[in-house]
Amino acid sequence: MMYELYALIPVFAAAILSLVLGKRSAWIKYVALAGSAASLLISVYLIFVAPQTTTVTWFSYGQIAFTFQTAATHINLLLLLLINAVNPLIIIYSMGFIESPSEQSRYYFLLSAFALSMMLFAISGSLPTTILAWEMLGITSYLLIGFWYSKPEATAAARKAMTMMVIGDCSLLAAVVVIAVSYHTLIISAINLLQPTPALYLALSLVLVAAFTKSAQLPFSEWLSDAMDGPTPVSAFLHSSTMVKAGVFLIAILLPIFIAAKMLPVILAVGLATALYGSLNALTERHIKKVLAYSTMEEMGLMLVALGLGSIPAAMMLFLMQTFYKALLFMGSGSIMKANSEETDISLMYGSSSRKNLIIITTIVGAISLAAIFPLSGFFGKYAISYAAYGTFYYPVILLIGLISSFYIFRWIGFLSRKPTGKNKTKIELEYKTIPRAMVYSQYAMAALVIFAALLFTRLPAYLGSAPIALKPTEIILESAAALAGLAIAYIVYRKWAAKSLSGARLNRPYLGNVLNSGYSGVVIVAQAASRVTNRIEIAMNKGVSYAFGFLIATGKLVGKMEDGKPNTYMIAFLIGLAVIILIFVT
Amino acid sequence: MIQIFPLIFIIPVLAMMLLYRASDERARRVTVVATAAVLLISGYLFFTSYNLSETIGISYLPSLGINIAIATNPISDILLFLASIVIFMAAIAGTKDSQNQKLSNALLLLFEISAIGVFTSANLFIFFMFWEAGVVALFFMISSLGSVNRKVAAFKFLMYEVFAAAMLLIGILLIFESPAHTLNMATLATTASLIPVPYQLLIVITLGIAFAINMPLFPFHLWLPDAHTEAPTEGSMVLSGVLTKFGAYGLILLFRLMPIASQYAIYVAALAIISSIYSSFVMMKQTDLKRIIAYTTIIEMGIITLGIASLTSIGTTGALVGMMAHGITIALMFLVVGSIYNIFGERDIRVLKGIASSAKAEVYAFIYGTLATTGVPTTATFVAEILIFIGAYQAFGAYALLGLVPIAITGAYLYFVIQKLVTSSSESKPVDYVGFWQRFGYGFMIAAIAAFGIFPFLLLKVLGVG
Repeated sequence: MMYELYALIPVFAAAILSLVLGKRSAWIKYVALAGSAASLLISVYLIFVAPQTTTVTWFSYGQIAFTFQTAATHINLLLLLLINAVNPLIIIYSMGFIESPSEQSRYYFLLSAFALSMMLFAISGSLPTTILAWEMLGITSYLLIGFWYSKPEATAAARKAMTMMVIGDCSLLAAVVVIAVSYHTLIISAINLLQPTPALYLALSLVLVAAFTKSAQLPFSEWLSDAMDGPTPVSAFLHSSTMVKAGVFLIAILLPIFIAAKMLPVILAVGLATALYGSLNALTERHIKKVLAYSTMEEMGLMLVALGLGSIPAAMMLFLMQTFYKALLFMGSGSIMKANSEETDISLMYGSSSRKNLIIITTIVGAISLAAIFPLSGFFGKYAISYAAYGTFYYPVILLIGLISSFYIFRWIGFLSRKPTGKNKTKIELEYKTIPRAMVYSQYAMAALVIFAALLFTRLPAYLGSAPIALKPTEIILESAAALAGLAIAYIVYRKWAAKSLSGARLNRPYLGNVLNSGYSGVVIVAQAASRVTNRIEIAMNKGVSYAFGFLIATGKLVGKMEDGKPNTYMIAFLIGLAVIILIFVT
Repeated sequence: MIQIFPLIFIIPVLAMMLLYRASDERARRVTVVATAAVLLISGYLFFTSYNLSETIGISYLPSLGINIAIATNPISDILLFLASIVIFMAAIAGTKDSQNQKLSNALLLLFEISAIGVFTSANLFIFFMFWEAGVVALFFMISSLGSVNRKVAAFKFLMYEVFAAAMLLIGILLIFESPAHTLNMATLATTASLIPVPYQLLIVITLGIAFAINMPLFPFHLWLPDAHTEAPTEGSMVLSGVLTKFGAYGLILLFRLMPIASQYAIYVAALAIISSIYSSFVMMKQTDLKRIIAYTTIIEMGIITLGIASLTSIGTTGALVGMMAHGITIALMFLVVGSIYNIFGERDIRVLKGIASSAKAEVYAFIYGTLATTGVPTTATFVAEILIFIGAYQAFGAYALLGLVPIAITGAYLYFVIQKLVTSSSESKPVDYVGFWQRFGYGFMIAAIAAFGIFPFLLLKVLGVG
């Protein structure tokens, strides 16, 4: 039966209600929370019942049927649960974060719609469902990133993201067209059994382009770092369990056909390049949220590396663990930004002098988890990747990426946990104390999830029905050594700088990000040049048409002169004509 | 059955007669009622898949084979419904100059008669006559109700459309003088193969140019942006929403009637893709909202032509869904832009800023229109695009996917436009407001686009597929 769809109903109802209730109602946030909680309960229940799939034919033409079909395999249910586990905490956090009552209706509607799109994507079993959820995700994220539409940077970031999404949407549509024509099926489980033909390579390349745009892989990655101008809870949601995970998940559920088509090296290469790119950018970035955004790029890249090595459990392990610590880090940075009066430069931001400040402590937990230090969940996530890569040529690169990520996150948390000094001290202390409870408590809950998610390490491969990921001492030691080395380097490099501002340090801006952004500008310049050329042609054609019309009008005037209505003219013309005729006849 | 169908002609004619004596205020009401009645009738025809295969004919000039013959088929059911939706919306929501209510309403009704005639005529000569009536109605709509440069734009429109009509007439005369020797479409379908090949080619070229001008396709499109810039809102709505469909409908007929035409389909498809890509680049340079929307018409009509030229039944079906989707979407976009112009007295995206606070409904409708233009699932355009591209991929292989490039560019540029419109470091000051009926118009058209997008079988059922 349609159990898996039941999980979507409460959130859907919440989305509709937040529109219906309108601006004035104080109940909207509770409605959204209740909806997400109900969805969470249902998706936990689904883990135990393993539901059947549901099929609804949308429309069909001849052999090609466009069916909405759900899939309820374990990997689908896992993503569904992840989304629903994060969603209520994000909503609780938002209760504190979104202060203006006039924004509430729009915010909770969009947030619920965003969650709903991702949930639909999670249980999608056919490409029409996927493409529907895919484009809904794009649109809702567009509206959420540009939520504060009066901020020019926010709308610009939203537009940049949407431009990438449009490219992805068109590629996915093209892929659907190619598969529909060549194979007459759009059911994902059937697609996974296909035999490779040239058309399939075209289709799968288009799918990859789509997945790379959503998962912020090279060369489509720079929208993600700009998307930081949206509300922080949205970033926390977008970077942890939704949106960027969609691309990785799409490749994961289509992995058998990618294996059959021997396209894994492409996935691996792009993933590895993006992981390096993201980690190197995070190393020199100073914007509090952009460091985390580049780190997300890196993690998505690592998941693709695992998929490129053909290991779904390794990819899903990081997929699972990253969800919690990334959400926690974003929540923490939102709280810290609020306490530092919306400052975003980490070198100008301070923690609290109180050692018992749990906002900072939970954020540190998240950072340690990201740095992959035993025994927090992040360690197991990254361990799974190195486990999959162990013994291959890529293993040292992955260790290096681990070292870099440990380095940048300790640099990040090192700045953020400094004790405030000088005249701002009392102000910042006070601000930390007045941070809304909803934000603080949801952050604590997320920190608990980060700690306890480590328990899922052995459960996950079993749940996905694959061989367990063994804990090998050498690999553990190597990975921990890399993480600790990162910590040590961060301590040595930034210990002295910590007190000072970083503004003079040339190292501290993302060089690579600028390179990619200038690449985008290059594409835009080329497009604009093409636009100028076509516009010239257009103007020239218009001129030509005006000349043609001018010629017609001039001819008309000339002919009009002959018939000016004066008998004299006519008489003269008549006589001339007569003379000509006589002359012709005479000679 | 036979009794209800003629009403679709009789009602607008009666309404036009009533307008002659009516006051300005009443003129509007009469038009709204008449167009609503036509909408109901065409809706009835649409939902019952009305198929009047036997023609209602009145002999007119038998010696020339001209008789006033009317027939409907599934294609005309769809296009009739589209025309009546768009014209009803233009009547109810088009912002009108209060001085010229009578004239503008009369022209709208004349255009309605013409559109119904074009989509139902079973005789090529009648087809031509109704076509010309539509051109004349729109010419006066632009030249007497348009904005500042209306005379020039209307003249340009007229020159192009008269040239198209001349080509159409030449083509029709060539058909009549050919061995097929008939203007009756049903007869022609069976006798067209009698026409020698070079002669058929001549017919295809003349008619093809006529339809390409009307659609419009790339080298012949110059009239459209200018006409839109100067036309009043309701004029723009029916111009892009309905008039451009005359050409597309003609192209479908041409491929059906002339056997030789199918050999040249690939050139038509190539021209369609070039036209779309070219216009998408030109669009990027436009700053006038109306011109931007006008260029999306050329882009979308190119995609629709691609579907028709694929000559597959799935592509043609997609093209018909696309005509429905595009007709309503573009009418919505022009209505929104007209409202924005009314509210702020400005249409230039470099000047308009922060309009979201004083024109919230307009911004949301514009965003929805953008989604519908770029073919997001659950809008009718998505169904159209996927069917068109499946058909085109079957016919032309991977080259057909080039048609997605202009769609991506359109999307990217329209989102840029939205960013320009809503970002408000400073806000544009409203100088006027729009009334309830404009908002009703947005709602009605959004509902229609969504209905056809969510339940595509409504359209597919009429065509007997799905």
